[in-house]
Amino acid sequence: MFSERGRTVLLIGIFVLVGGFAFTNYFLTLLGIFLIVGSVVTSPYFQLTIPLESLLVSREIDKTNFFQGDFIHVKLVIKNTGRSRIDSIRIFDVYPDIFRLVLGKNDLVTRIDAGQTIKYSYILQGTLRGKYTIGPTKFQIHDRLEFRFEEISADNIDEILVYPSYQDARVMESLAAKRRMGYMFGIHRTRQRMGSEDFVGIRRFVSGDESRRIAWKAVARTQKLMVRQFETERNMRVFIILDCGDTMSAGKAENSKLEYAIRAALLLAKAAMERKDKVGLVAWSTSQETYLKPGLGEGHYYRLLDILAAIEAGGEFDLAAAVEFVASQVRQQSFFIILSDCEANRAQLEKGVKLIRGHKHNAVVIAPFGPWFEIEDIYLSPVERALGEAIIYKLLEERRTLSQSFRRIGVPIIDVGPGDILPTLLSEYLKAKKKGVAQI
Amino acid sequence: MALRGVAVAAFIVFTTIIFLNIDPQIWGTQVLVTFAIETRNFISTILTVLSWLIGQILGLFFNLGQEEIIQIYEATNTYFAALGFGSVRSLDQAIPAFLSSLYFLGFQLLFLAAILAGILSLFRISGRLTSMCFVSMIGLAMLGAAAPSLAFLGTSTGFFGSAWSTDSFIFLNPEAFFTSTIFLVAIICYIYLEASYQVVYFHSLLEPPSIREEQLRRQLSRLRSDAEREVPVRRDEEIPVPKVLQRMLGSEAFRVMREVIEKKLLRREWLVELEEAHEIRRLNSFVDNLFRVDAEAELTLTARAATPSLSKMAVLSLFSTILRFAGIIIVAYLSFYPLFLIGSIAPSVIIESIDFQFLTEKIIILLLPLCLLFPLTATIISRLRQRGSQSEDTTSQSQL
Repeated sequence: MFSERGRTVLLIGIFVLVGGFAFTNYFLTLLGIFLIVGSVVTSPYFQLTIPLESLLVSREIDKTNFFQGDFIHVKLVIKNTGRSRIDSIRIFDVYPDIFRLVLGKNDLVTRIDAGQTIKYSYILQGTLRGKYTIGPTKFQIHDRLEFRFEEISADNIDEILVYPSYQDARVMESLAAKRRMGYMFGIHRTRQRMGSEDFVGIRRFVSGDESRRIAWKAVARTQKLMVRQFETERNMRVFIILDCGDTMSAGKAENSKLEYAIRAALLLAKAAMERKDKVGLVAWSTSQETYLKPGLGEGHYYRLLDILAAIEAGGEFDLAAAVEFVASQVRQQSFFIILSDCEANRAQLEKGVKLIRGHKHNAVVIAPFGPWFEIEDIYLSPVERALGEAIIYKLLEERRTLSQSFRRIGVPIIDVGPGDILPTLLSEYLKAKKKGVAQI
Repeated sequence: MALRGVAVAAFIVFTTIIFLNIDPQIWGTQVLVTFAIETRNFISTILTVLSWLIGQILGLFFNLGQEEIIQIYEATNTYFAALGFGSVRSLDQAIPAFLSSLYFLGFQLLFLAAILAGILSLFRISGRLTSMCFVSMIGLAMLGAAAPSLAFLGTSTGFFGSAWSTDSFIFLNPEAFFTSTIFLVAIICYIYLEASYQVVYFHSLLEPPSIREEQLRRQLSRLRSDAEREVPVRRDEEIPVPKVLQRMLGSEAFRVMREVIEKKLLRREWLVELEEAHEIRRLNSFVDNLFRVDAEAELTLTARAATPSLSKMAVLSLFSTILRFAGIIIVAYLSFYPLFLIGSIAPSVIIESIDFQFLTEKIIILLLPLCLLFPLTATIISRLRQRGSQSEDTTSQSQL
């Protein structure tokens, strides 16, 4: 087809030719003919050289699964297997808009002779978790004078999976290292009577204590019946219920409640698995249902990563359906951590919480509070700020009544913002661990 | 470079031809002043006509006598004269004078634009500048050709002398055609366009790889230097806080307050800087590792290997340009001299008709089908190739 330049030359040609007729001027007439013929004369040859199938493209990506913030090297190899050369070709490799091009360029203007192979590459940074595609590679082929062009596209699409950021987990690992060195000793111990691990102290004997625990030296010293008390760590079963409804994606993509909730879930899973607790995941909404049964180990962690990486916000959160499903899969007592903004249908939420308690599970709701996430890093005028505050008060009031209703059922709601979602979640987990709930 | 020379030469020849052949009165130095005066005169004349119209309309509406109408006309005219637009000429004098000054000004401006765009395109290679220059040249030619038809210009022959537009030229033989001034100037004009676009083509293929390579080198060296840079620890930095507060709060409370302010103000900025430094170090180590693992990574990042060879390009371009020119000239000649083909096909009644003998438009008879033949052939080729690839797809699917 004609390019903009080709069209311009053709139109000028027609104009000049008509001018030649009008003024009976043969110079203009001849120039008009030159321009008109010049713009069309090579079109059959150009059509013959378009490489419909002779252009072979392959894309080499150094890794297809990587963590948010990591870099990938994308290399394109293009071979012209046809018999004619391509005078001018613009190669353009499509990559997701949200990615950052950090080195090199994803497009190239060159010329490819018959049988020639060309290579070029670029480096991208994955800035947000998710499932993405790189490609297709698009070609814009021009003739030498750029009078004509044709666009073709190769069907080379590569899928890549960007895991949530590993930065929080790295911090966690560094904390674990500190703990191993004794800086943070004992933060996750569970006090268990009659355990058999670490000695904690001596106390008075109460009915039901095993006689083998009697501390005879203390008895002799105090003239009272005393027993040795031990501390042990018991493993628990944690279920993360992740709200992936529409409301969780409000605000900037990288600052949305869902992104923070996923980061928090990943961190919690890392912390819990490090302590040998089993972690399960349910990501639920009316548009997607994802379930990972509680498990342990590196393989399980990577499965969890895969699931968390691919989650997309959509539909409406249905806590009752999620709990019903989990209850049908797992009979044992579990500790449910619900990561939800609680902006879904209130009746459904209450029904879900009642079901959890009905099945004798323990639960806590970590509720990212919408306005705190959505106005993060956004400049607001005084009027907008005043309106925002009014909305916040209204939402807080609604949240207060919901919180009261949940508390009556025995499930606390904790409102969190971007700054405290991670520590709050970890602290709630450690509290539950300390209480010894949902033990395996 | 050679192509650039050809383009420059063609441009100089064309502008010189225009400069030498146009009526010298066009190059008057007072065109801008003349245009301003003539525009004022033109507006004044229009306003005078308007005053007369106002008088007539008011007279019609209010049933006024001739004397009263004249009074209104004179009053309005006086008012316009006070504004600086007094009646000077009649309408049939004002319009040609205004158009004539507009024509001279337009011609000089177009000539200036052509020269400016031509000079600029020497330093900055751009298809847009070339097109601008060419359109200005065409504009000059069109204005020049229009001059003899515009009697009010008072020019003798305009741009083209009688040798440029002779009626009998169309019936000349091929030898006369290829040696005529018309053909030579038209081909020079077209050569300018073709050579300039070829320069743009060469530039678009050869320049970006070197820019890309230079850019990558700069990016890498900046990456290396930034990766080595340490982010200064800002914990000890002090924010100036008024001393009066110290007196009011006491030294301990003042110290605590200062710390709170410093943390709030400095921490955010510092954290951003720290994060950036961390990112740069990560990228640097990624690139180092990439260059270690992949020996051709640097080559592919700069796309140096994809740079076409200049000599090969030049030879192939020369051949294809010659072929292209040959095609264009043959088609142009056939269209311009239709008797060569039509003479043996069409009935003698048509060939001997006055229309066919004397009208320039007969060029269309062959030009249209000849020009449509190329896109038609291209469309047929495209359809055939698409059908071929579809049938190959079907065959491979049925084999699967």
